Amino acid sequence: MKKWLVLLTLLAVGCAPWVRVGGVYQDTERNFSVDLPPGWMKSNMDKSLLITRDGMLLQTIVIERLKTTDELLYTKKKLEPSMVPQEAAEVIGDNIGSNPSITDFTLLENAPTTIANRPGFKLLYQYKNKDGLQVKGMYCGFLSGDWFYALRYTAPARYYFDKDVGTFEKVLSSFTFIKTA
Amino acid sequence: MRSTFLILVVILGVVGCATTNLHPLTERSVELEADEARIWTRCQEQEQLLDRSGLLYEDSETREYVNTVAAKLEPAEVYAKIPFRVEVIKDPRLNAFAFPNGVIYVHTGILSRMDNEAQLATLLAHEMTHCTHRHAVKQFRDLQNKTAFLATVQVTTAPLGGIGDLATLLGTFGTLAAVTGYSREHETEADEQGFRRVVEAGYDPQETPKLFQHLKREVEEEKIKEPFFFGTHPRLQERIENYERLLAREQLGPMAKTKNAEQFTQKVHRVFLDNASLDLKRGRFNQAQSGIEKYLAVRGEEARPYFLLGELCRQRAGQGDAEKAIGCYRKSIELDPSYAEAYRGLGFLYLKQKEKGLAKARFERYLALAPQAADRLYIEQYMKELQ
Repeated sequence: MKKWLVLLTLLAVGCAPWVRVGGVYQDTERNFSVDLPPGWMKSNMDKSLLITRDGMLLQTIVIERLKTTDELLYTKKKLEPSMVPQEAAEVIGDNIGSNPSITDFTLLENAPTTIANRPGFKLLYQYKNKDGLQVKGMYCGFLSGDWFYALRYTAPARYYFDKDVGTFEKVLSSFTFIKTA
Repeated sequence: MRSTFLILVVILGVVGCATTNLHPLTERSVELEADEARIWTRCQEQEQLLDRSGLLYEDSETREYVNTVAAKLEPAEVYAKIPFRVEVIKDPRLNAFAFPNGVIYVHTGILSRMDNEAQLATLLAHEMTHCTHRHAVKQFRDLQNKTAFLATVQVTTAPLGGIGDLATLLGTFGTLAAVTGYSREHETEADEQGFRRVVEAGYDPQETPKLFQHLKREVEEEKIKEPFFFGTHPRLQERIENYERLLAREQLGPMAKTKNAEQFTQKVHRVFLDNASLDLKRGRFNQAQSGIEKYLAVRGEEARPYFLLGELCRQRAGQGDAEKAIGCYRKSIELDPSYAEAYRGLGFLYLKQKEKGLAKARFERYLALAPQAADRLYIEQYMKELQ
């Protein structure tokens, strides 16, 4: 009987859409490690690493890795391994701004930054979502060979963005490669 | 089994079917029906949302012009019943749609593919016919009848096994009208009645299939996959066939053959450039180039179109594009020496070509002209590296 209970519990936990996270998180498949904030929840339904504390409408941090040959969602422009950070930022900014379900996209800042000792970019922007809510986002990315790594934080511009932007910056600064080429 | 059939017949009789045989609102004695009035009210709420969304293209000259063209297509008596209003939406995708109460939305994407006023009139007349001929309420009632019928069948035949939930059908009605279009029959009626309006207003009927031919070619060449009615190959093919059939059938006697190409480009030239800028962001370089060139044909000597052409060539990065981009940025600066972003573009290309002195000078000029530039930190970094 106990065996069945353990099995059922394991199955239930394994299938849960959200799991609590905190501390070091290693993604060996995508070759990165980050420190995740305690008390946040990770989605098991998403291909990328997606975490939130109060729900996806209130704040999300997403970490993903794309192949430079992958098609972007809203622009036909492509990332190239030879691009300097400003060029990559231009492609990503245009991709976000071309999303047809947002309006009033404004790029507030486009600056160089360093992520895991690699030159990258940081975009700060805001837009209105389809419900008219003013949303603010920070998108940091860098190219590493044929891969593009992106770390982004999105939250409603009013109150919520400022509340957790520091948390995102901590996650960003903790980002390292598990194996370096 | 026999009793089930009887129950079905009785319930169908009780539920009844709302008629979809409605006369056009252009007929003098015809007035709005109750359900139609409710649809109009609902549409007004959706229009208010759209109008507040920040999606509208705010250019009074363009807006006034498209509304003037619409006013040539229907008499004042019809306007008294359906207060037509045309709005332009900032969106490079190929789309236009009408709410049943006469509010028509035309995307900048489709507007910038047109060559003249006759083509604009063709599109507007098609959309206006959807309103005058009450296609929305007809489709709504048709769906209601089918839903009532199927719900009745579902209740009666439940013991025999369910046939699915149709509740979502009515919820997607708005999307059906704007995205997939109306039934083939209604769309054909919109082509036929629209064609008549265009001819009566004195426009050249030979222009009626041309916009759709352009769009179809573009959809094919660019492999465009858009969810909208005017962005799908089969629907465009239907339009072309219908207008060509109408052209062949009509005994077109001597009549005015207005195209108003020059007036059209003069009035909507800003749309060409602004839409090209949206196409450029989406990486649709051919469409962007075509829009910029159309703008340049009207307003040759301006800095912004040359800057955008420079950006396009730099980002496309094809054979010889770097040189073309440098030429365009230079032309932009020649036309307006204070056009800051053109200096940035030049600096960036010189940096890639390892022309350090030239790059540094252009970046310095850029920052002098745009000290608050969003990308200032990159430029300062480049300048440090160049020293």
